[in-house]
Amino acid sequence: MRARGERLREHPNPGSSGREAAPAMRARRFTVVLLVLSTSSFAPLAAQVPAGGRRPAVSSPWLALLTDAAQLVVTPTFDAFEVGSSRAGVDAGIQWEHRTSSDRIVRLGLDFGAAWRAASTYRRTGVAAAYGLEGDRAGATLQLSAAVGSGAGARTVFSAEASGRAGALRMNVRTNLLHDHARPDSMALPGGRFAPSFVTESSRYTDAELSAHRLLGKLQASATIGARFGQDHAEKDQWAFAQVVAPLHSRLGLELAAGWQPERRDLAQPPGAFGRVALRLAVPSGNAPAPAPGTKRTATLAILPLPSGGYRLSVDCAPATRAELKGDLTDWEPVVLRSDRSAPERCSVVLHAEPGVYHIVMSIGGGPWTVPPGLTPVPDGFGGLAGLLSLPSPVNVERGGHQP
Amino acid sequence: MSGQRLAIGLAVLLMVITTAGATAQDARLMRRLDATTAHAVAEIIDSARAQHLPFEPLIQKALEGGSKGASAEMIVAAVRRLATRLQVARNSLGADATEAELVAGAAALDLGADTQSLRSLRAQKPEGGLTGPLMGLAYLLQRGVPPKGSADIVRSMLEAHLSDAEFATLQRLVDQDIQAGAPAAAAAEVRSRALIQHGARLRPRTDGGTR
Repeated sequence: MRARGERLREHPNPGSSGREAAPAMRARRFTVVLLVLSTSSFAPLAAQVPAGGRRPAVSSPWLALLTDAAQLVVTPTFDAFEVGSSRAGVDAGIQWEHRTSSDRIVRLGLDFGAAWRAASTYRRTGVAAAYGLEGDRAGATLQLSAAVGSGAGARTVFSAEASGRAGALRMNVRTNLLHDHARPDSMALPGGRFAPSFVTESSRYTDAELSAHRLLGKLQASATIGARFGQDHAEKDQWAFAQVVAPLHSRLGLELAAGWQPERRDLAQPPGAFGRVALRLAVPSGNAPAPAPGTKRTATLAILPLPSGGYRLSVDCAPATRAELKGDLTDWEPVVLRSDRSAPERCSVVLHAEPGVYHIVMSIGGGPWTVPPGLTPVPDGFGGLAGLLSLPSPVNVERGGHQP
Repeated sequence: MSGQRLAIGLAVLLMVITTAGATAQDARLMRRLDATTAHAVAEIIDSARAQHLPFEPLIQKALEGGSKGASAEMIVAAVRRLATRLQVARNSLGADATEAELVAGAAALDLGADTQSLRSLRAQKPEGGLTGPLMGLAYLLQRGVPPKGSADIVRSMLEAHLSDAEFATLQRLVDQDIQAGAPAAAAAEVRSRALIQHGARLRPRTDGGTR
């Protein structure tokens, strides 16, 4: 019985050796094309960079990301399943990510993977491009990806994924179009003869996942539930699992996961109960290290010089609706920052002070007095800390900016 | 003759205004500190004024101590220490250093900068002043980047004529990398190099986009 959404396509007999060799050759060719494209896309930009000089301004974020840091992430994994079988795999990805000042984010990734289960092997090569908006509290991203594989898994995979984030909750909806591995068949010919042939199975389904993320000290913990739609014969069309990632070193993390997972033929992943141990090794390129996925971003104290004189200072204070600030620019008397309807998550106040460097501390929602986020903490001489705040002169603002 | 009277009148008026200002500042100390502490702090402030050092940061340091419930001894010690730092900063940054530069320089000294580093920055003083670079230096030192490395990074950025905005960008990027687990020194090194190479593109525009 065939699943809904699956299609059968028949091909002329390519010969048994050709059946095995053709997808592998396609995968290798695809890899070479990706690498050539990747390398050549750097060339025009690199050629424009004068020795020791600045790079030219790049208007498109897609081009800009190729001048940014790349990060190689290698993840060896070991999965054990309830039936006593196991799967070992290695995933490697090179990722470029560029974030603009308006929180637009573009990402380009090359993925390579290999998995070994029982006597079978699966290898895949893919490319993915994503575009989205990533703010401190919410974000939305659309990603398109394509991959080719050889061995005991999907031959070609196309997927479109939309993801959204609100606070600690994330929702992913991913539609996959898979052309599965060929299997021998026979084709009826006129005259009652049969010729050997092979078939390719195609399937299309959509996975929806909801996950909750939380930082427990240094541990990144998450719990995920998911469901699959559009594939009748899926052995596991609902799943749930928990995952913890512990940092072992600055670039090395240990991932532990357990629960029930769906079948992922694009990863040669069987369905059912599982336990996983994995290492995550992130290696930045020589340009700059990139933040790890899921890194918590902290809203910094924002300083806006006002045309009428003075400065508006604002900070992310949610869920509180007020914060207090005291420092050199208030004679160390507390002043209140309040949220308003237009930006309920931000508390702000207008202060009139001369441009200069000041020491301040802040209390959010009645909490302890601390250094405001984004300011450099300096010893206060009393056993504590104060934040170093720079209020820019209007001239410097016109010239292109200031720092807190 | 009338011109001389006018000049004398202006001088007297200026003295009155200056004295009134100082009195008002002293009044803040008197109101927030006990008399003995206020007197001890006032002596340090008078000494600083005699050396043409900015005294408002010293008053603020005393008020900070009062606000934080510090003991009299701690307040006096902290004010004296800051006065010394301001003096050293001024010696290193030059007599024309602004109050903001001296406060930022004093903070950098507090965090481990040496006078040689400050002097070398003075030699590369940009048109916009050294406040941004000194803030950048203080940030790098606070993040644990060794003093020599911090000074080298700031000097390299000054040589590349990067503005205060790029120093702010450096801080944001290095913070981001440190949160991701990167060592501060390595992050600062590669990020500053990237900013020197294409800092103008990374600088946020006033209209919210990027260059």
